[in-house]
Amino acid sequence: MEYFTLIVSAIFINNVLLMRYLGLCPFLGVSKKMETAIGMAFAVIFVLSMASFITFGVFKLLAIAKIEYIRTLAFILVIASLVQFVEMFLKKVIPALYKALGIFLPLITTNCAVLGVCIININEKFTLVEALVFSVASAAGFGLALILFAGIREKFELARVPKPLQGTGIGLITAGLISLSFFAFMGMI
Amino acid sequence: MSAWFDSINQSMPWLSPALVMIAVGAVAAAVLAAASKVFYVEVDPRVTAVDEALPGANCGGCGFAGCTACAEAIVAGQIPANACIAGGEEVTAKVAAALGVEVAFVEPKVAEHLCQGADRASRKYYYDGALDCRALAEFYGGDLMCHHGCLGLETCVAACTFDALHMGDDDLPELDLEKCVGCGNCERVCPTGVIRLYGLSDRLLHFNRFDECLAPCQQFCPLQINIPAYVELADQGRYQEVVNVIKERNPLPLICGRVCPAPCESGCRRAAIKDEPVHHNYIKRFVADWEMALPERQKPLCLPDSGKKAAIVGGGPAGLSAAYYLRRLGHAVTIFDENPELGGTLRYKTPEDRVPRKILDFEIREILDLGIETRCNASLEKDIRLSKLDPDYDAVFLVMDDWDMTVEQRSLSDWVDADPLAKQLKLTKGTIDADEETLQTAIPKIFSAGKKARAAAPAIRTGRQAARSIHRFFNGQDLRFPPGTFYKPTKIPESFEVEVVGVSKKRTGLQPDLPAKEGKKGSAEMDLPLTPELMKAEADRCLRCGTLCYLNDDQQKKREHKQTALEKLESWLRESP
Repeated sequence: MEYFTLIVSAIFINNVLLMRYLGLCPFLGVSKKMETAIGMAFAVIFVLSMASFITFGVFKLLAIAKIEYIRTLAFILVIASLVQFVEMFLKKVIPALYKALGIFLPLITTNCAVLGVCIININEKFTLVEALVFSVASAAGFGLALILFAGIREKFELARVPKPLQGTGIGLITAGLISLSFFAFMGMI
Repeated sequence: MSAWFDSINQSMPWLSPALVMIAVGAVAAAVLAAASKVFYVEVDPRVTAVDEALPGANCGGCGFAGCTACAEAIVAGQIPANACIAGGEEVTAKVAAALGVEVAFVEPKVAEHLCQGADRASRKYYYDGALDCRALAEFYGGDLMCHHGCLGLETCVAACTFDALHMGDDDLPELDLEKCVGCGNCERVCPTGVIRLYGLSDRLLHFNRFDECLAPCQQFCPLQINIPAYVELADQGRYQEVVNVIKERNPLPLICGRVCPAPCESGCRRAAIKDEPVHHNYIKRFVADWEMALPERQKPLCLPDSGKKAAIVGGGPAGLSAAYYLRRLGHAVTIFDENPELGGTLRYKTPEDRVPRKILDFEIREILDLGIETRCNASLEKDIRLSKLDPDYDAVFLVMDDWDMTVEQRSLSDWVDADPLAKQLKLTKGTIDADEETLQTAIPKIFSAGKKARAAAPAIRTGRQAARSIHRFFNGQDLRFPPGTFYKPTKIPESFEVEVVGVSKKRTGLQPDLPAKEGKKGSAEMDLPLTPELMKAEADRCLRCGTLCYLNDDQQKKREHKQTALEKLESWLRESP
């Protein structure tokens, strides 16, 4: 039950995109087409689950040396290297997955949603299992918001949108409305 | 341990963070370095080279997802080195250099938009759905009354990756031909086919089709000349382009401007409101005369030599027309004729006051100057023997009909019987039997005009039809026309049921009844009083019809207003210091 609450809260109530406002650049950048939105969503799930695992270990190391305050710096370095490594690994071992995730992997290197969730894991003092569950659920919440948004934006391509609002303008208004709709989940828990 | 770190952090606060970061960085670097060796993927250097040569626009014109995918397919040999249409010859040369292969010539193509009347066509219903032409076309083929009009929802504009298409003021896409590379994205997304990709060979060999926008005059023209297009160009004073448009269907505009009985005029919608029809033929003749008087004429564009050779037997209008189009398509052509000079019926059966020999000679010279060989005074018994022509030529076009017209006391059957190869041909009613659509005879490489070459206009059309068949025969393509093609005179009935309203009568005072119908003593033909002003006034009367639409007075005024506003702007600019 505890994990269920954790998952629901990460996906809907404290959605990393719409409630915490983390990772907004891919939210606007790759949401014009459903295809790229799906690719991005899966790439974030993939990278975030591994990043939370490895940053958990790195933080333990920092705790031993009592220099927890440099965690942001250390996490960026570790996540960046991890993404590079995963990219090379996939290219050789699972080329099909590499093609599907394609350019999204290097894009995530600097994604604040990934770093943000890793830091939340630490702040909330999660155990390793909790951290993993929370990370995957957060990434799923990111993907959900992104795919919903892309679906609406694709429809806008064919709609009569007033000239001054075309493109990013109507995109931001839509993002605001989706965010408001997610507020409705607040009373759930 | 903990106490030790505490003391270190107190005395030297920079030391442990620095050491930890260096250690983490070193480990990450070591792991990545090892991984780059362990997980190294070999990439074909040719793929990289070809990818660099490609434009990188990822337009999809080649049929692949992007330039890298195209490069892989080229290296793998799935598609030829000239697969990048958008890049054209330049890119093909680079790709070929990267691969070390030679490539054949690819004919360049460019997009053209055929609908002129989206804002004046009547609507079947009011549409308020998704803004995509393909979605709109799902509902009874779109909201326009005609099935080949521009639906105007900008699907092609969105599909263009080269920024060559923009929406104009009249709800029609405007093409920026400087930017168009001919990738064909617009053609692929257009549900009505009003935007298409055409090269020179497509233009020269096109026959009108049922599913195209055809003005009534165009449906009446036996040569299928694009009359509204050239009247518009003539109106704008772009005479060279008028000549080019006419010569896509008719290589003899000077002669046709004189002998054509102008059936197009009977289709004119002005005639339907009891007004004088627009006299297209005089516009054509005016422009043809203008071209003849030029000190230096533009040579018609020809495709590079194909290495194929065609023989044409008979130098009349059909033979000349076939020769003209085959030569422009890059094939080598030789015309055989029994007579001392080319021209056939036009020279030996038409009086001087209808076709002045000076004009005929000039026009034939223009055609031969494209690089066509001639064998006049050829003997039927010796030179024009099929078994003799067979080994030297890849195709033969026979215009042999009404045998006794020029040579007495001989029959076609004698000629056929004397030759073992010609014996395989079938004869019907004094002519060599051929398929009506493809003009192909019982022997695949031999084509015959049959009875179709008896009058000048059908003869010229048949010559072009033969050129099309021979060209496609050389390329190994299907000789048949797509369904609904007007390879013989056909009309679209709905076109003539259109009620013309809101158009007032307008005359220019042009009295063109003289030359065609009654020849005036000797060379009546040269004194036609068609001045540029009169010609422009005549062109202004044209309603710029489509299959179903036309410009009414209000729309014409709007158009005129647009033009004069532009002129006014120009005059202001000229007057300003």
